[in-house]
Amino acid sequence: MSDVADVPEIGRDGHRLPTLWAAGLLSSLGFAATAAVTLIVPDVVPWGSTALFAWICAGSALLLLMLSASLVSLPERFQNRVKAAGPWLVAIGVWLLLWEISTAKLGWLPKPFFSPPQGLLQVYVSDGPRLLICILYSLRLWGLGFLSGIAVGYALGLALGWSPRFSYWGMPILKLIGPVPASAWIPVTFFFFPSTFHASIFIVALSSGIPVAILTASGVGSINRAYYDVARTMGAGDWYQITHIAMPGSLPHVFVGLFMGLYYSFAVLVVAEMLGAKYGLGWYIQFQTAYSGYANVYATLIIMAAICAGLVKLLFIIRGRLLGWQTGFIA
Amino acid sequence: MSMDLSIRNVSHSFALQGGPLPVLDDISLDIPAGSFISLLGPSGCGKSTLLRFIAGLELPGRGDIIAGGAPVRAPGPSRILAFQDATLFPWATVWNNVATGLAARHELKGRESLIDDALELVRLGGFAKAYPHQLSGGMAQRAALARALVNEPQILLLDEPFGKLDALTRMGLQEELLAIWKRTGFTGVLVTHDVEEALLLSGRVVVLSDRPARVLRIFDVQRPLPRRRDDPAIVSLRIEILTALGHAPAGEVAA
Repeated sequence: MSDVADVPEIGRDGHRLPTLWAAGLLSSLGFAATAAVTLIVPDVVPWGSTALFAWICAGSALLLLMLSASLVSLPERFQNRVKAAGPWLVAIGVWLLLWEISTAKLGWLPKPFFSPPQGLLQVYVSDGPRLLICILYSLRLWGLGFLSGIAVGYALGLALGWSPRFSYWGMPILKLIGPVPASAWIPVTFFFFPSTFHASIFIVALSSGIPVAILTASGVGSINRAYYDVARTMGAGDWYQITHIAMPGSLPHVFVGLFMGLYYSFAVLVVAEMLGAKYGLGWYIQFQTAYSGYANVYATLIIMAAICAGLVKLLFIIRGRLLGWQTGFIA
Repeated sequence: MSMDLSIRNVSHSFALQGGPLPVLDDISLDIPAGSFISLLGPSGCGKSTLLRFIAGLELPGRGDIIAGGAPVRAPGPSRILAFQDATLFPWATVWNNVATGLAARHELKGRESLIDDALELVRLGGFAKAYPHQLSGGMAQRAALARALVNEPQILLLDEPFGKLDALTRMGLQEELLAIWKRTGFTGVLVTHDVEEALLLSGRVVVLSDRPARVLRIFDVQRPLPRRRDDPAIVSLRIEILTALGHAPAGEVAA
């Protein structure tokens, strides 16, 4: 018994120093180097926010240093999550250093086509309020479009999956209009909708609704027929079968449709905001592209990517809650 | 709590692309209330189709099925069908699965204790909150049995309910089914191709022919319950039935 217990004891005594988190230390080094290079080497052309970027990097370096020293004393759950991010943190530190050197310091990747990190930071600093308004406008358009799109798409998909007659007429039409790019609808939407805002909502709704409708229909169709027989033999009516079999049974497919709809709807946001919008991230990107404000374009793309990633994460959480019953489900 | 069942000249063909495929040929059976019979026949002979007709899930091409004096035209909770696969809804807990029938008929309110009782009956009291993927095959089949029994069916139709279970689990469940039948007294119709299972459980064994199924012979099993597998009368009946099915055991002589 004692010799088994001794093995880890020896191992622990072997490390004299308190265990440092190596990846954290390495990433801290990367951030510190970026900060030093940014501060000491002069920019080829002025970008603004150079000092701010350097201090943010220095702050991050300090934070990572403290984290790598204290990680062993933190709760295990937190430790594991931080450790998993380690290689990425190292890569980000190195990436920032190379990015900084190749753009601001050496000018290999020149203005206006490329921007150093402080160039993007400068966009947020100088144009922050306008970007914030654009975010809110885009979220309003996306929210209204996505929610109405998936609501109609889900109802349509249930009907298509449930009723053979509805499917006979509806499925060919859906398959026909499914591949049509959202921008192709613009002329028609101008005629049918009272304002360009409504037309924009429609385009976002269409892009998110169609995958949800198709996947919901296929989800209902994929349910084991025996489940309906079980319910019918116990006297269940159509309504019970729809709400208690078709709806929960199709949910795994529905979520695939929701993920597709989420990505499509973000992609068409730019198109939708071509329709006479005055604010919005898509509009901002087009506006800045026209004036060669590529730093602004990159800065906005990062915001869009971050919002989209956040929404995907949210959808994953909802899916985890609703689909816990699946065997071998991986969150 | 049981009703008698009468199958009168039932014939049926499936419409396939190559033409009609006859599956049932003029089947007539009278099953007294509270009795337990087995339908035995080669696989694919149409036994399951006959059960679906009795359940009312489908209607036969010709002939009538009369349950408790009234012709069967639609599914109803007095005739519950339990399938070979447990077919529990994977998205619902065991409790909610068992509650399906009552909930679907809006009879659940105030009668929740019936669900707990049914789960106790099949010894799954501790698994009310579990999901089907957490159950073993035998437990899932017991849950399916509870889901059927909670409706207090007067006729219970069992479509090879233990067909996919291992031998030991199957023997345990056969004993449980027998005990439950004695307590609740439903009219039982069991489809199986396990001759021994038919002989252990039922008062009458109906042997069906290959497709299209006709009634070949009917055996009365007059041994008291519970029966022993090695009871000489059961053993000789088993050989007789196998012979009727065209599978006389090699080296044994029909009694």
